[in-house]
Amino acid sequence: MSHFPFLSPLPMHIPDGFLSILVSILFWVLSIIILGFALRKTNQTIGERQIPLMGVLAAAIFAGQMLNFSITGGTSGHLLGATLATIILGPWAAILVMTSVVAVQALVFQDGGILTLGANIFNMAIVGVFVSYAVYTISMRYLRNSKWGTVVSGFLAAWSSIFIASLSCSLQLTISGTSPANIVIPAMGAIHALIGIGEGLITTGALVFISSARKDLLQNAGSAAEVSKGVLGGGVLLALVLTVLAPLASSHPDGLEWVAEQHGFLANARDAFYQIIPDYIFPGISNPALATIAAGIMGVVIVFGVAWGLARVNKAGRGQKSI
Amino acid sequence: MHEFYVKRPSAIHQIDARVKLIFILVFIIFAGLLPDEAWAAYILDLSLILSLALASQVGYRVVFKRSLLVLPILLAALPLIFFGPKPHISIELVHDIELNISQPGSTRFLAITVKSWLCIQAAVLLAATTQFTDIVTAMKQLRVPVIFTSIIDLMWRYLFIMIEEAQCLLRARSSRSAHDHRSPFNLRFLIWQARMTGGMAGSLFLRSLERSDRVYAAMLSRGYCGELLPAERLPLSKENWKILGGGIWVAGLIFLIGLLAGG
Repeated sequence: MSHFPFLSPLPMHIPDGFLSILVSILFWVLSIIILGFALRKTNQTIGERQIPLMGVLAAAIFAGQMLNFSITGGTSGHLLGATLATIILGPWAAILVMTSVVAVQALVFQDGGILTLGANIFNMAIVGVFVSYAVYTISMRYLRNSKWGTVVSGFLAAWSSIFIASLSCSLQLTISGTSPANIVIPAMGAIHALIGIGEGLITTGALVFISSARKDLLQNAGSAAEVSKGVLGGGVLLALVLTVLAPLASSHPDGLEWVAEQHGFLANARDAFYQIIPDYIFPGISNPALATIAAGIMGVVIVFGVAWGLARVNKAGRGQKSI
Repeated sequence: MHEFYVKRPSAIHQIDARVKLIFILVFIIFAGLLPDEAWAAYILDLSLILSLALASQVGYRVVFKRSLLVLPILLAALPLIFFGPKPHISIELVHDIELNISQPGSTRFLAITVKSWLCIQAAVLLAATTQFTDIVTAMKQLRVPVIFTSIIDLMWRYLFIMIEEAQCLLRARSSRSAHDHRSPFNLRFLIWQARMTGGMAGSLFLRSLERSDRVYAAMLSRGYCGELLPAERLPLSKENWKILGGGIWVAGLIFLIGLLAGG
């Protein structure tokens, strides 16, 4: 395993086979929609000079995940880097950089699956960056732009990005019927609450170093002038939904677990294929397979519609403001 | 730390990277859609991987060793065995202490184990027979947005340099602070360690920023004007289409067998 000094002992990089096909595809669609926005945003704002910057920084984040320090019992604290990337590059570019990192880890080093890549991008690049950005911006607003403000905000942002991403990861595992909710959510949450402390400490260490060496890099981040409302709102929303949903799911196993049971266990053998979303069978279509496929497509369309609508509202709001 | 590419003069190495990428994706989807108890199909899938490993002259041992990476992550699915749905089988360990094992939960756990193991082997085969630059070219040809392929292209070019820098930093740290045997529960020591590591991460970031400045200057001087060299838009050759079709047909056939005979 010496080739994988950065391989986390914890299932943050979900391998193929752990998520059901429906969940994998759903998160691919979600991730692609959000990445599309990130691409459009970066296309508008960045110059040609940013491409080499993002490429080399992605390599640095990949390599930075090797940096660790030992805690007891063979565990070690190490860096995911979403928060640092967000603070230095801004949210949209950070999403692209983190996505590239996660994609290369999956394609070259088999750290995380190929079909589950969408879900992994969602957890580590999208949730990680959105939550980091929201927490950092809000916290900076209260603490003003003092040096202590940077340190505290950086710590909070790093910790919550890890913690919330792990909740998202365990919810995906639960919906797929891979792990029982009342076990995996508390376990993943607790472990990542600890790992988050490591991430937070390393991130603050890095921020202190950068602020004494190149203070200019931190100046534009999180300043009120160019706060991206969409990312801020998205980050807050993601954090709220996931922190509410996770304990709810684990204390009422009949909630999410129900989905998992329908999906995985109740249906044995052949039926499993037809019962991907059993109770959502479409009215008017008698063939259960067709009905299920229709239901699946409808689900994807609804998700897409909601995301698109949100973006439209968001864009309209921004448009008015700039006038 | 290096790319996991096994150079061999096999026909599978020669196949267009697009074909391999799409085939692996289809294989993983079919494997994931199989019902849990489709043991026959699992065996067929495994033999497909085995024969591909042999045909590509990579050898199955390499693939197998690499595929063990998935083992630690299985921990996440382990609770299924004990907390899965009914019916439960009770095993009396000691007097009055019983161990409940869920039958469907155990089946599901086994299925997840086998499926994830099959999928990671397929991914290992892709990486072993295809150079990453070819995969990036395939991504360009498959119309992945230019920004992504550019970032990944440049990232790949500088990845191993940055990894060496990180290793230098780690070596420097261990040569200076040797092995400290202070109590691991010493909070101040732990925080100090974390801050040092943070400083290392910060300096790695700053170095990468400075390097990107130099890279940009070098690119400009060679005529860069906002876009890396685009990939040739070569359509897939007839032969490659046949290979792709054949591969998908085999994977689909195995899926059908699993669907009809499984359970």
